[in-house]
Amino acid sequence: MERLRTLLLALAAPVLLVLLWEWAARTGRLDPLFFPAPSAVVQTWWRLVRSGGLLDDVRVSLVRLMIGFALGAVPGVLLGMAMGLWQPVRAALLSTVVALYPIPRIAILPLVLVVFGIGESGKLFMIGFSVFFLMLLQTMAGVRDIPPVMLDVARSLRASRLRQYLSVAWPGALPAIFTGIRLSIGFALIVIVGTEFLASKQGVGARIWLAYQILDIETLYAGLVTTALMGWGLNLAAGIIERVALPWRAGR
Amino acid sequence: MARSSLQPSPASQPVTPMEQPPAAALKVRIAGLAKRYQSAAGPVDAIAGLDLDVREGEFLTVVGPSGCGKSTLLRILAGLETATGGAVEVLDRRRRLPAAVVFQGVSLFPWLRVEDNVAYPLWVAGSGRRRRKEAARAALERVGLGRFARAYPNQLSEGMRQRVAIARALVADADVLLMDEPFSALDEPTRLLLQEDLQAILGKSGQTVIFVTHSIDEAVLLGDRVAVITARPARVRALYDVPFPRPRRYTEVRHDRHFNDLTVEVWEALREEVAGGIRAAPAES
Ligand SMILES: Nc1ncnc2c1ncn2[C@@H]1O[C@H](COP(=O)(O)OP(=O)(O)OP(=O)(O)O)[C@@H](O)[C@H]1O
Ligand SMILES: [Mg+2]
Repeated sequence: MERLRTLLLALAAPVLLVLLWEWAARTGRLDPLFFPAPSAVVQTWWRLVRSGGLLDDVRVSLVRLMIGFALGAVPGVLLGMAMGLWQPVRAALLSTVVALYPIPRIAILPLVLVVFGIGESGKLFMIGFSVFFLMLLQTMAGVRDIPPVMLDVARSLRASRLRQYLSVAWPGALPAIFTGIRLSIGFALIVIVGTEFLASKQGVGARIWLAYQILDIETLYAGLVTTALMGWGLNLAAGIIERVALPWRAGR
Repeated sequence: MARSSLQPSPASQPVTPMEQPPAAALKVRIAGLAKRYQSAAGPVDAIAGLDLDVREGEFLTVVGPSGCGKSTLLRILAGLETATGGAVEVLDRRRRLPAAVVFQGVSLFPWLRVEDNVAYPLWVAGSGRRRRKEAARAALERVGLGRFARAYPNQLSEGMRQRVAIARALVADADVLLMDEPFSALDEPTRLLLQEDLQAILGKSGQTVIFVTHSIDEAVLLGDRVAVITARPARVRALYDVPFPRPRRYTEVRHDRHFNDLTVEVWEALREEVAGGIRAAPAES
């Protein structure tokens, strides 16, 4: 009951906004050239899904996103673990990481295009780069936040190094890693769409950019709706995986 | 559980504990122990010249001013710190580990179910799944939590979590059980209950226990002997025998004059150490 009420309240604002927009567009209070009616956008979106290959674009973007994500996240987590566990590794690398982390991701795109060309590898690198530092810092923080007494438990039982990492460092850092994953999804989506604007013939970003060039406003909006849905779907998937991977946090 | 009738002892100081054979074998020998930490503000002597013999099967309680080095002593015994002087030795080793620890505060892994927390020492030792499960179930029955094997620690009360930590330490299969203020975070009724339960759990197991506490009542209630530690750097100031039969119940012993006299005596020894630490001068009495 309580949940239903919360849900209704959460839906009320966007629904009202869309209705208002629809009304304003139909009655000519908004210029449909720039603000087409939501119903028209949905129709266009559906037409693109049915016959226009929009799903192919989504697939292309998602595949890039996931491969790039893995390429950035796996080394990020491993290095973050190492930096969290061993002070010398941290001392050697932390200042470099901290210096590179704040660079706006999209700012390196021209350089990446020069180095990698406009093939797939450049796009994967862009996503990987945007995810790598975030995952690294999250993992390191997660490891360092583990209460020392938990490592003491393992050490007092004479656990091997490997077992200490498997049984304490990894599960202890996992919640922070998942926070990193959720944040990374947003980053990666921004970066892939932005990259596809400039350096792709395929993908949701390319679709939006093409629509812009021919001033196909309704397709432009349909592209926006699609990216929003992708972000929503990815977060949903991450949430489900998180609940499975962190069962001790469920029901909190 | 048999109710103990308290037997007044002739004197409250050096007497042989009733449940100890007169010449109980030595279990832990601590001789001239020293620990110096290197901190940012310079070296800190946590322990300097601590001598202590622990007998086989005895329950030794340790009280001392806060920050005097009690945890450091246990950490050295557990192999978590190395001494900078002197020696500790667990004699007549029969089990896998020389010592297992029930740590101060929250030490269960929140990501493991209660049974997996309890079985953790066996996982570390490489035991198979069947054996781990059986041992964990048995230990949980022993601490009265058989029904909660599948729960996660955050679904238990603080008192239940400490029982789980005790079960885990029992499973570790160690010659000596080290307990570092295991009940100090508990509310009073829970603490009194766990003090009774701990006696029942250990029963006649013959387990040697070194139990650090801030509570003088707890030290006298639980200990076969009470060691009073000096202000930092830690040494043993005095040892008291507590010649009362087990199991002891707080509600009963508190009416016993000899028991109270002993408690007061321990308190006065400790008071001088605490006051000395705070005022850097012995307290007048
Ligand atoms: N790793 C460390 N580095 C530097 N100093 C330390 C370290 N660990 C403990 N100390 C110092 O050594 C002294 C003894 O610490 P310890 O934790 O053994 O005391 P304690 O008797 O257990 O205290 P409490 O009653 O608060 O539990 C304290 O002054 C503490 O600040
Ligand atoms: Mg302590």
